[in-house]
Amino acid sequence: MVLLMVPGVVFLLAFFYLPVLGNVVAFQDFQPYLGIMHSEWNGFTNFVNLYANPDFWDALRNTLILAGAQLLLFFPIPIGLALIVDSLVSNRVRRWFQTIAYLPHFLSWVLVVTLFQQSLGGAGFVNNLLRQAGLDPIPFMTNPDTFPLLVVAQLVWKDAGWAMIIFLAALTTVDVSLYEAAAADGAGRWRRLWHITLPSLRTVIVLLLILRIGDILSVGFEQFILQRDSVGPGAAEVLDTFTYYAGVVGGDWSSGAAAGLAKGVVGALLLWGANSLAHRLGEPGIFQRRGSS
Amino acid sequence: MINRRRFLQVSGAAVVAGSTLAGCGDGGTAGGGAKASGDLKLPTYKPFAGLQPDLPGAESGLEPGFLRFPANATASVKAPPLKNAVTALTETFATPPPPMGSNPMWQALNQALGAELKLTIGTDPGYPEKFATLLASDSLPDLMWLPPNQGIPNIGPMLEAKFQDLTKYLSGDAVLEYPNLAALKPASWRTAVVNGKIWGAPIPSTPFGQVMMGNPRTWEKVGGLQSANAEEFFAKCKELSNGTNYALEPAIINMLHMFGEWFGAPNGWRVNADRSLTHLYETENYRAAVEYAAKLWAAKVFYPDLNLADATPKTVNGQIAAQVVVGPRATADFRALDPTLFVDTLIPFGHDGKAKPVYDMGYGTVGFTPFKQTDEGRIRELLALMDYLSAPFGTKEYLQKNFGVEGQQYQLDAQKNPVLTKAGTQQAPGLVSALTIMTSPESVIFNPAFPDDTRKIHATEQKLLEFAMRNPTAGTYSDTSSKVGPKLTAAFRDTIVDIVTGRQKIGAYDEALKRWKSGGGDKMRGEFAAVLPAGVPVTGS
Repeated sequence: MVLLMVPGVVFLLAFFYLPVLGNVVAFQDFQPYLGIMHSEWNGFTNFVNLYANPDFWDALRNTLILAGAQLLLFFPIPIGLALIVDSLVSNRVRRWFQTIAYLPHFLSWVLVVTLFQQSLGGAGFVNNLLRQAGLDPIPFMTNPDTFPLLVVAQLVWKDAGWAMIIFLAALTTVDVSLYEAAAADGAGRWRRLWHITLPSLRTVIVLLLILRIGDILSVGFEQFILQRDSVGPGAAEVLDTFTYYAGVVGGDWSSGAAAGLAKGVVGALLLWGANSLAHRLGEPGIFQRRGSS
Repeated sequence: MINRRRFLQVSGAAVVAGSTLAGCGDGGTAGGGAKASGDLKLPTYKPFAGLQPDLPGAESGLEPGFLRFPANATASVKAPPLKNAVTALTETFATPPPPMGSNPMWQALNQALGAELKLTIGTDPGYPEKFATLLASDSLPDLMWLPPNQGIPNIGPMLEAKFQDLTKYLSGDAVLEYPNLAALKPASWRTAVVNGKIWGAPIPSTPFGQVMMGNPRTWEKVGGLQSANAEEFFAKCKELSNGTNYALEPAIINMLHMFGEWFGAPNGWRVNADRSLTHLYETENYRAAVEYAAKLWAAKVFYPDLNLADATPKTVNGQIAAQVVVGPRATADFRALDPTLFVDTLIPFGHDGKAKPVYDMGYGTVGFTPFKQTDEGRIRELLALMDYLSAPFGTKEYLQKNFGVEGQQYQLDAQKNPVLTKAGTQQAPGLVSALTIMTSPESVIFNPAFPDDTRKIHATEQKLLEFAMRNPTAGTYSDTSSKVGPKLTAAFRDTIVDIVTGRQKIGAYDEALKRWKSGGGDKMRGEFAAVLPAGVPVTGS
């Protein structure tokens, strides 16, 4: 048993826990040619500078807006999809639907953005049709105001089918006799959904919601860096791209690390907060307090 | 001849900013380092004697032209330079080449060098990241190409900490031991001087900066690419943009660079009569160019997909009418796609038809290649390698490096010009690009199958030189610019692109300028002004 755990533990140690130590560069004026051992320590200077940097706050604001949009608009969709798939009677149709829905998950963001660019972009299929019809093109891909919607649309297209799988699995655990009993008592389709299906899914929904909230500051990286030029950093600069531009590209590794560390701390606090809230509502959450059942 | 266009396009606009490229000037600090660099004796210049160009070059930057490859290429080195294998980090701007094991051209080069040349080949973009990661890993290759304008920060202290001071081996007459390195011009060598020391052989490139090129078949409909003033150019662009055809490629910063020249904006910094400096961004001229670009954008003459990676194929097929490339020699890139096409190069004009335009010359090199710290024997071996790889146009070594082996990677055409064979076109481009970005002789104009192109390019260069302006801070150094320059430029450009594309009003310009100045721009100005060479001409009122 212990032996079986070894590869997993080593993997986690090597690729997740050890790199965490690298965060010390957030308290240094790190220079790659000096290394961690010889770079100068500068205490909280990087964090103070970050606090004074309006670009950081813009990136944080964008991150929160985009995370909010994802949470509101994306999160319910896999649940809906799972319910639809679950209601399909024909096994064949069901399998087809499922496959088509989750395949896009395996495409990289470069391909997804290119696909959107080719169909909705300024020189894309839809706008070229509009032009031929003598109409004005619509700036789907370049309007910073509607950027959150575009991003969510891409995310739904790519990942909703994949996220559906977990709910589908949860649905298979619902006791069929409950439906039969309810139907016998005259409960219609919607009542059964409301009183049986959704309550059965509640634990999973809350669990995923908590995980999502803990991760809320990671809205994605490639998706935004690829589209940053089209809508401008005013709409597309998120914490991860900020870290990349300030740290890796700008050569200011330490402030990049400081931004990353701040993000991690806030994420941990959110996770803890959401979990506590779940406990208060009587849900098991992601881990349980000792003593509670 | 070798394609550096994309490298310079990506970073070429940095030449306008004049901030990032200052990373490789002389002097580690604004004070002492610059003085030390002044005291340094540059390597003695002794041009390669064996060759007369058909069209002469000049001190002004005019490149010598060759109508055909010299017959009976001479050898410029006496013996193979290497006894032991050498590792190097470099970058390719073509498709990466087949690896050494399955690349006969690479193997033939190793044979000629005397030992294996093991290249780690980065791709574009991403080189600075690769460079920084390798630097932090502490297991450096023998040679690492150091680009001047991709924003590698804090070059001075980095060189002192990790790389080899080569002054002893190259300064003054010492360089004569390496004749091909002695054939590099003093202006090129200045690139490789930091903190008053020489850190490697410079990599000369075309001294010309960006130009606008247009497909003459497209521009024919509106009377040609050349225009008398900005209004005329605007009207032509509008007429050319209809349906799915557009006048201009969507590289906004590069296009803006061209407009700035018409409006008389300086190359990086303006030198005022009292020898104080005004940055490009602070001039009314550049601001006017931004407004002009916004007007063009609003008229929908730019290709609408800002992510377009390379406009060249679209310019060739006529969907885009004009694009910005580096140097008049870039006509060859269009010829490569369509042998019947010779694109037209726009000569800058005054925005109102009266004002004198400027033409911004480029940086002239693509940096230098420093050595890992090592002992004297190894240093001499590596210098001999650089000497071999810097062999001038027309030599045996040049042929070996760029074309491989006759009968295998190239053959001679009717005019005795080397032309790549089918095997050559697979093995050469990625490898040659990786080699020439880290080592190069002084540049020449040469278009093997099209000698007439060489004549025309030579003539275009002379026209551009009439308006030529050089960055006054080139070859000097500012700590602040080296440290925060790349970040400040990026932030300012973000705002400019916002303004041009209508996402922000022109009022945002002042706010961005204020941030640029307080973020380090003012400090940079002071540091550059303090070391401004006496020979730099006044360019402002």
